[in-house]
Amino acid sequence: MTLTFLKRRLTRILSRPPEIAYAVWRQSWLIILLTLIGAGASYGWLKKRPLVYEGHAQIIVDLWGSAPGDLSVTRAPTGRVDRRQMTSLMEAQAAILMSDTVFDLLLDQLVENGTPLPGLLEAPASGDSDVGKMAWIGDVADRVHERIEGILDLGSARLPPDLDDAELVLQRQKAVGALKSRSRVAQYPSGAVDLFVYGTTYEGIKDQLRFWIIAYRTRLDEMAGENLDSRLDPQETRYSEQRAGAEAALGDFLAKENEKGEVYETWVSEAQLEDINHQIVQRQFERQELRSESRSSPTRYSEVESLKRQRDELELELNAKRLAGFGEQSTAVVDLQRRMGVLEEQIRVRTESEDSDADSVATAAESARSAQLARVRSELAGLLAAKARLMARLEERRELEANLEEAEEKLARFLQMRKEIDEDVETEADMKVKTADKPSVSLEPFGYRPFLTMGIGAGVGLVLATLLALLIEVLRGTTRFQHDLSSDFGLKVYPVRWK
Amino acid sequence: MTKKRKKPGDTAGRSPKGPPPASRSAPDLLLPLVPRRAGRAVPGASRRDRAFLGRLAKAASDREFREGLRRLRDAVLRSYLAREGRGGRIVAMAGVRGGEGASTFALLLAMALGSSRHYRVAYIDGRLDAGRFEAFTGTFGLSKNSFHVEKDAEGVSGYYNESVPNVYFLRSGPLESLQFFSDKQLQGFLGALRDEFDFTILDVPPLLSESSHVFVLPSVDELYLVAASGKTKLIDIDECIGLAQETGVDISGVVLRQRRVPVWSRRLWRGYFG
Repeated sequence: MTLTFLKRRLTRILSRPPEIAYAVWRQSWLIILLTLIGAGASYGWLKKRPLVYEGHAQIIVDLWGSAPGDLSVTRAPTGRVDRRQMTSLMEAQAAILMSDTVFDLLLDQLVENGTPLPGLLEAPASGDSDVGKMAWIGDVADRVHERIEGILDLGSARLPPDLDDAELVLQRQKAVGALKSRSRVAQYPSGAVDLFVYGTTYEGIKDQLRFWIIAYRTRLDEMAGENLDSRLDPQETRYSEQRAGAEAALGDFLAKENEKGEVYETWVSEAQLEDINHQIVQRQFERQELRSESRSSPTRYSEVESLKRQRDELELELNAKRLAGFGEQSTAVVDLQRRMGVLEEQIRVRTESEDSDADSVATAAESARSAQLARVRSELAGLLAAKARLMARLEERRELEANLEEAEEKLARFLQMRKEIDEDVETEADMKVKTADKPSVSLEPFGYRPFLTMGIGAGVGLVLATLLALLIEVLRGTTRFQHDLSSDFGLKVYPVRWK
Repeated sequence: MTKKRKKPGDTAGRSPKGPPPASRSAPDLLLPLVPRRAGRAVPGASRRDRAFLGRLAKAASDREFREGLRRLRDAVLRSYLAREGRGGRIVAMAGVRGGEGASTFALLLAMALGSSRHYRVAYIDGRLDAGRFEAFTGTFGLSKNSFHVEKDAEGVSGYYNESVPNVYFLRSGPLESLQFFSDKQLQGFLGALRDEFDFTILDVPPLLSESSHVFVLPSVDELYLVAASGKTKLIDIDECIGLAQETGVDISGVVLRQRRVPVWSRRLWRGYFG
C-alpha cells in the first residue's frame, strides 16, 4: 500500500460524513467493546482506589496593623484589602492556623483518647473503624463548636516558640509531599482561610493537617526573614562600603607619604614642626640683631637706611603672615612681596647715586652684615615654607581619619538598629484569631461517584474506539464502494450485491 | 478446422439426468436453470465443485444479484449492438486474485445473455476443469450437441440443455489452461467462435494468480474485472489495469461484488451507498 493510497483514502474518509458513518458502523462491535471496557476499567479503578475523606476547618485571622514589617495589611478606602499585600495576609493567617495553640485546641483535643471536654464526648457509635471514628469526631465537633470559643479562649492565642530544627526539617519534608497531592487551601479577601485536607483515615487527615501547618509556618518565618533582609541588607552593604572607602583613602594617603620617604607618623611630624619653629625663632633673632647693628652704624644712616628700614618692616610683616599660616600664593603675601620689591629697587638706585665716597671700611662691614642678613632671611623663608607644607599634609591626614571614624560610627549605628528590628519582629508577632467554622470530617467519601466515573471511562473508550475505527478504515486498502474505483481509476463499475 | 452442428431436436448424447422442465416457470435470465439445491445431488463432484454450485444456486436465487446481472447483461448487449462489422463478441470475465466470484458471474452472465433466443452464447471455463464440467453436466442436464471445433488433438465440443439450445458449454480435451491458450491455433479457434456465436463468455483465471491470460486477452473484445468489496485491494486493481494495458486491452468495467450495507443507508446517504 503506497503512501498515495493512504493519503487519498484518509482525505476521502475524513471529508465525507457517509464514509465516517460507514467506518463506525463497520467497527461498531469494536466500539461497543471498547466503550464497555472503558466503563468497566473506570469502575474497577474506582473500586480499587481507597476511599478518601475530606476534613475542613476555617479560621479568621485579625491582624490589621499588628503584623511586623511587610506582614501588615492595610485597608483601602473602599474597605477592600490591598491585593498587593494579599500574600502577606494569607501567610499571616496561616501563621495563626499553624500555631500549636490553635491546632491543639481545635484538633488534637478531638481525638478519641484524653477528651478535653468531659461530658461532651461519648464513645464511638460506629465501632473502631476509621469511618466510625470520623463519624464520632464529626458529632463531637458539632457539640464542641458551640462552646469552643468561650472554653478554649482562642481570641488570645499566641504563636508558640519554634520547633526543634531537626523536627522542623523532618516535618517540612513530609508536609511538602502531603501538600502536593492531598491538600487544598481556599483564601478569601475577607480574611478567612478554608483548609481542606484529604486522606483515607482520620489519622491520615490529622497528620496532613499538621504537616501542612508546619510547612506553612516555616514558609512564613522564611518570608519574614526574607522581607527584612531584603530591606536591610542593601543599607548594611552601603554603610560597609562607605567605611571601606574611607579606610582605603587613608591607606592610600599613608602609602604615598611612605613612598616619598618622609616621616608620616603623627608624633614625628609634630616634633619636626616644633624644630622648624625653633629655627625660625633663631633666625628671626639673628635678623633682628643684624638690623640693630646696621641701625647703630653712623656712617650708613641716610635715606637709603630709611628705605631699608621700611623694607625690613615689610619683611617682618611678611614673616608674620607666613607664621600665621598664609601660603606663598596668598594675596597678603604676594602684596607684601611686591612692596618689598619696589623698596629694593629704590634702595638700589639711591645707593648708586649717593655716598659714592662712603667709607670703604664701613661699606665693607655693612656689606658683610647685609650678606649675613640675606642668608638668615633665606633660611627663614625655607623654614616657613617647610612648615606650611607639613601643616597641609597633617591637615589632609586628619580629614581622612575623621571620615573613617564617621563611617565606622554609621555602620555600628545601623547594626544596632537592625538588631533592634529583628527583636521587634519576634516580639510583635502577636495576632488575634477566632474560629469561623468548626473543624469537621465528612462522612461521605470524597469524589466517590461511580456513575460519573463510569460515564467518563465509557466516553474515553468511545472516543478512542472511534479514532481506532477510523484508523483501521484508513489502513484497510480494500475496495468498499464503487466510488473507490470510479474516482480513483476511472473505471465503469457495475455494483452487484449478492450474499 | 471443421465444425459440425446438430440440428435442433437432436438429442444424442443427452445426459441421463434431464434438465428441469422448461415449462416450470418463465425463464427469467435463464437462471431458474440453476436448481435451488445445486451441488448437493451431484454424484462424483468434488467438495470444491459442490461449494461452487451451491454459491451459484444461491446467487441465482438472489433478487438483488439478478438485478445487477441484468444491468451488466444490458451493457454487454449495448456494446454488441454498437460493434463495427459482423461477428460475435468475446467477453472475458476475470477475477483479481481468485475468490471474487468471477466464475459464478461469468456462468450466470452467459445464461443471462442466452435468455434471448436470438443470440447464440458460448461459455468456456478458462481453467478447463474437467471435474467441474462434469458437475455442470450433472447439474444443468447438459448433453453433447453437434458443435465441434478442431483444436489440438481432440478439439472443442459443445454441450447444451435442450430447453435452452442457444447456450453452449464448451469443453476441450485434457489440456491445462496454459497449454490451451498458448496454442498457435487459438486465434483460429476464437475466430470460429466469433463466426458461430454472438457472445462467447470466457471465464479467465485470476489475473494476478495465473499467467495464461497473456495469450488470450489480446484477442478478447471486452474484459470485465470482478472485485469484491472489503476483499479486493485497490493496489491489486491498479496492478490489473497495468496488466491489461500491457496485453493491449482496456478494462471495460468492474463488477463490484458488494457486501451488505447498513440498514440506515436506506434512509441516509442512499445514493452514496447505492
